[in-house]
Amino acid sequence: MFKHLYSNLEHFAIFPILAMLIFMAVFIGVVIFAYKMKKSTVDYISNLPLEDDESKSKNGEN
Amino acid sequence: MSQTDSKIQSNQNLETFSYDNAIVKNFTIAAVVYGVIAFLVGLIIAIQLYVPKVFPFLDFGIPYISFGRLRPLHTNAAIFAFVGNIIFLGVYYSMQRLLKARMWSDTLSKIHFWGWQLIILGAVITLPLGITTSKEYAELEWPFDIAITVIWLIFGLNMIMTIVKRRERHMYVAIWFYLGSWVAVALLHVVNSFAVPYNWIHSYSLFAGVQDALVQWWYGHNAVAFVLTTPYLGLMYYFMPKAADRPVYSYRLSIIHFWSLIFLYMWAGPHHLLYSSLPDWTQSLGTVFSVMLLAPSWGGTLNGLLILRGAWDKVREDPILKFMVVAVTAYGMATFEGSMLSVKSVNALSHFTDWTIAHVHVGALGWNGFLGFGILYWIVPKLWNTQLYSKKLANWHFWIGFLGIILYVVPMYWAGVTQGLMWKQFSPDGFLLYKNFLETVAPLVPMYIIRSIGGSLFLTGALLMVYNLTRTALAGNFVANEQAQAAALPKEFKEKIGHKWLEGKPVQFTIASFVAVALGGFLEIVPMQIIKSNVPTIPSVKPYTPLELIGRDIYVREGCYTCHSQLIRPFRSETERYGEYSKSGEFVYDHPFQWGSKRTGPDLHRVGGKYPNAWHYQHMYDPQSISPGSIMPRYPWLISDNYDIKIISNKIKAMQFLGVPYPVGYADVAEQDVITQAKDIALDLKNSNIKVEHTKEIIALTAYLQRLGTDIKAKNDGQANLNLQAVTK
Repeated sequence: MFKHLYSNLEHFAIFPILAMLIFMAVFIGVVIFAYKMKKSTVDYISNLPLEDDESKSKNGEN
Repeated sequence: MSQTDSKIQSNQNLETFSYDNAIVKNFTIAAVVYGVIAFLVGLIIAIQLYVPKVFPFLDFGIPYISFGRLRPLHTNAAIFAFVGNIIFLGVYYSMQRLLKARMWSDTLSKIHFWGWQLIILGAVITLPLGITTSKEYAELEWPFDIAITVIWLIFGLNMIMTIVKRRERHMYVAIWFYLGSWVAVALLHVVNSFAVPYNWIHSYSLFAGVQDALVQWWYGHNAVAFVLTTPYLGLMYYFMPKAADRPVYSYRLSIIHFWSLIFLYMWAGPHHLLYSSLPDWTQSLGTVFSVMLLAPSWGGTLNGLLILRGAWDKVREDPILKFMVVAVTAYGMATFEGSMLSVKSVNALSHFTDWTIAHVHVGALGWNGFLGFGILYWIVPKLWNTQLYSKKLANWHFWIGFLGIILYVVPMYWAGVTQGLMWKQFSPDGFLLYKNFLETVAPLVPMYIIRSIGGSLFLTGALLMVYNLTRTALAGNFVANEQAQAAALPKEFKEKIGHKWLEGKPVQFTIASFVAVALGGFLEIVPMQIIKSNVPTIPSVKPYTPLELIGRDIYVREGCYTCHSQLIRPFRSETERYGEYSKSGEFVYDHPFQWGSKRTGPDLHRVGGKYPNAWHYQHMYDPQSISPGSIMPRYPWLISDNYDIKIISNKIKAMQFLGVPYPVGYADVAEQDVITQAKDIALDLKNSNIKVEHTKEIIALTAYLQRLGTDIKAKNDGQANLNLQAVTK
């Protein structure tokens, strides 16, 4: 598809392939990253906004 | 306090510090004030659209408040003053607490605040004066562009250094959104602002025609993306859990949401230029990425709404949650619609009509307005250490505002679809059914009236909020430095987080976001700029004469592009109505381009030679006398004011610098050409019994309008060109 879009751009034939590869790599990387996070970490980070400032400071412990 | 205090005391390496609430307060006040101004100016221009038809006596003919000058003021106030200040108050409040650290530098925070407000003040002064680049949402001229860049860098430095000095090892996703948005806006703003100044306040865009259009809408769409959306999503991920008192539905999803959005958004700009003379490959890219954007957008919408899982009963009672739920729903609707409007066949109908206005306002009023209101109602009692003055009043605000949105968008959808269909309607004999553009305007006037009622309701709601928040603040006790305690980060923590280098280190993170956003711009814009075949040249297209150039700058100053396009799409309905469709090669000397994005009036690309000079004179003086039922404002000052002839040499030099092929030394003799051509037009007007001096602005504007779109008509004997060639010899 991308190849078709760029078909009249001879000198830039590498662009679409690069773009697709980078995008796919990053997307897959992010998905893997997100799902490999430890549940405890995820829970901890999700609760960061709910810590009420001074009162519940857990100071960075998982 | 005592119970939690004892827990805290037990921790050994605890540090005591304070959060800077003063900066949050400042941005809060600014957001409320500019919100009211933005809504008010919006209401004024909404009314101006039917004043000439319904209340002609109300058209004062004052340049500083004419539609074309106020519309940029409205959009800039809404985007950068209201939403901008909401973002900053939210960032300064949430970032300190999420990182358990005071902002790195109070001085930088203050410079950011006052700098930003001064820039807005500058906009309030210069835009009504007609000082504009005419690039939508980037209308501010070059000195302001530099100021924005400096203030933006200060804001970013303060954020990054606060992250470096933080006491919380993890960076919550809201901060990702703030940083990503900051990087993207910096890139977009700088590239789109490239210009060559021709005096201390005015400039010409570095890019021309098609390329300028691509850069502008790459920027314009991403003003929507990285000002109105991504930082706001950061706010959603912080303030909605706060208001609902439960964590985000899926933190993992929020990470995917973030990276997908910033990757995809940068490519979507060309969907503003479908069926234009932009090369097809760029248009298709814009469409594909816009449709793909639906996935992360709805992922984020669901993630936001599901924060309320099991807490929907709270929504019934809490006005803050009501505002937030409608806001996130509006985000979902606007993003769905955005993807659909990027499909070429839908866009063919919607583009240039009020449909776009409806779409934008679902986002602006619903998503930005309501989430902003929700945050304000939440944060003001917190800052002033008290309860909201009246929950009942806030509920009233919600319902009045909600009704206001409905009464705004429904008539605009109606108007958009109606006019879009009327433009395309052919009679059985194959002629345009509504040949006169005005026939497609008359049915919209009732819709414009209802829209302004919706707008007044929205404004009324906001005024209730001002009262409510003021009473809240007066009853409370503001604490400028809120005390807090947290442990410092352990030194060895860097090794521990290992694979989490992204969320651990702000600089790496910022660079990664930059790569993500820059990629789209690079792969889309660079080929467009450097491959000549993208803009086939047309030999008969010549630079504007100096008088036409002066006229063009008047066209820019008056914001004509806010209501008139200069882009005829290759549809039979358009070529029948306006003439030959627009070619990219026709715009090569257009610094900046003037394609516009809305046809409140007809397209002007082929208006050159369509009417006599006398018609333009009369039409500018009193449009209704020539076109009964027209909703165009009057421009009497064009007839009384002189144009500035002295500056033409600067203008020509700037154009030459940009590569426009005026002969060497032409800047010194251009004045003579101005006078010659102006006298010709004045003489022609005199023959029509109109006495006007050749030095008046109307002469220059007429010269420009008469030139528009005439170059491709093969004769190549435009009066204009002849003058130019005479000087060449």
